[in-house]
Amino acid sequence: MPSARFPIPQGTLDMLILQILSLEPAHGYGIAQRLEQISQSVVQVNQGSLYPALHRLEQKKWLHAEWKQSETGREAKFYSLTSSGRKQLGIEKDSWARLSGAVRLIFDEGNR
Amino acid sequence: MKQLLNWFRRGQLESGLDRELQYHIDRRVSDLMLCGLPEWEARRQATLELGGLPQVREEVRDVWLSRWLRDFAYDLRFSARSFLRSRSFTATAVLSLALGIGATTAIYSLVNQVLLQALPVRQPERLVLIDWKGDQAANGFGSWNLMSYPICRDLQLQDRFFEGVLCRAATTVNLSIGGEPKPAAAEIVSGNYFSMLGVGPALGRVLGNDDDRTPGASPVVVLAYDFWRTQLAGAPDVLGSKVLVNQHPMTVVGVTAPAFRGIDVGEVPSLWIPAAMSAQAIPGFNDLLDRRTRWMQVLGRLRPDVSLAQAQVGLQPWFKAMLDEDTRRAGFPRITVERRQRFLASRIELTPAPQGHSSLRRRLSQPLWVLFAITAVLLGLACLNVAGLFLARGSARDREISTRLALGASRGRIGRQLLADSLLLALAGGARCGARPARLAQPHRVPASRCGR
Repeated sequence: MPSARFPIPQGTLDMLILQILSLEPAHGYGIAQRLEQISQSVVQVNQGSLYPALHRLEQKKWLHAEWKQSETGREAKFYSLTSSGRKQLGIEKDSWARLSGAVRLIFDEGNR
Repeated sequence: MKQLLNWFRRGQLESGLDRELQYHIDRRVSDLMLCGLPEWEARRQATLELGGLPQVREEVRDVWLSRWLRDFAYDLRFSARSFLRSRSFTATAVLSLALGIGATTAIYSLVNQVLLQALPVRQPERLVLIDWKGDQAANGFGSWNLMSYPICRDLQLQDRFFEGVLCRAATTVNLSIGGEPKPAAAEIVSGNYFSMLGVGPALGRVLGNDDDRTPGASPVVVLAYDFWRTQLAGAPDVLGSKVLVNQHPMTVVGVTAPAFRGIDVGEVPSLWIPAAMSAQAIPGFNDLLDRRTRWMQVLGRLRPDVSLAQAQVGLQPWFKAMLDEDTRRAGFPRITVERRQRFLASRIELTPAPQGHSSLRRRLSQPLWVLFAITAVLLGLACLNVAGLFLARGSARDREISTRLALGASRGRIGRQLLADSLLLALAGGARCGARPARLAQPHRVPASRCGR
């Protein structure tokens, strides 16, 4: 099973977390599930690295954390995007688009 | 900085993380059980997916406070505890360090004040002391490097070399400000004194050239900032008020900028008086315009394009001519031929004076350096003493260290622990001697606030 899934590229986890939280606030487990669903199980996120990443982003003030009641009725720590987090997501999306565009250009060149 | 704050609220952070991870595991377990896994299997898989709870915790802690800082904080805590356990060792070491550091800082601050610190004026590095080497064939009073007021005025005309030349003399006057006269240190200065130094007023104005034109015609004084604050409680209506200087009424026209305390560290003036009023400031003195009464020190500010050596060489022809002219002036004293030769052989000498002029410095510079060297040696001895103590303690800690090595601590890790020991001790020693001067520095604050009630 693991062979069919890609380990997530270094440094993109932060960007994915920001993207998921830009839709709606979520707790850690929710983020893990959504990552799994959205990427249709293609990308494999090491769940252990999710929490350090969340705390790192919180420390950079890109995320805001709050204890709230979850859908099961228990208290969970919900993360939401701050305005500077939203700005950061824009920056990262931009640079990602430029990088992937450049990589595609290089590949196309090779196919010609 | 934010990371350091995290260290102090780590209990709160830890319990939050525990709850967060527990929530994750519980949700994952119930989801997996819905898929049909037995509970123990689900729990095992949920933990495996996270890659082990202790590992995750450790990684998150690294986010809160980077690893080395965290280790360092733990080291310091451990050191503090072990020092508290062996009190006599700690007391001895801290005390000897405190003595060594305290003596050195005390003497160094003295050396710095008296010998090293440049005056708080514009470009102090361009200031030079102008001195007469040889026989001036003159009478005089005062301490060192003295010349007469008219010769200072002559030097002011040498603007090929100097941007400005000031002269000053320190004296003590009887000053009364609406009450009993009290002795106050005063500096008698040429009119360009403040503009040449680049010192401005905190209030009103400073003395100017107009205050130093005609003898006796400008009864004005400028007060020192500290004097104004401490003796007059910083009253803003001091401007224009009359004070008595040796029973002569004079008007306060300003207060100097706060940092400026004259150009002599040994004698901080309370007020400045223009040289034109010297007859009033110095009882029985009427020789302001006498070329052969030496009583003022002369400082020059070199032009930016002139070096000290160039100025010194360039000044000699004018100086020789002036000497020659002086011998033919009316009122030149009758002196012996040898003395006349000595007078004519005089020359002018410039020395750098970024720290101003000070007879105190002149007298104390050598003893102060010697004292400083001695305290440095004392500090060395204190360090040696502490090193010996540490050595003795080290052999007593042999067991502890070999235990830690056996438990898997690396040599570097243990070295860092020992460094933390030394650092903590040094800080304690420094703080011990720092605490005392800080309390001594404000002796009159405490009673003042008590009286206020």
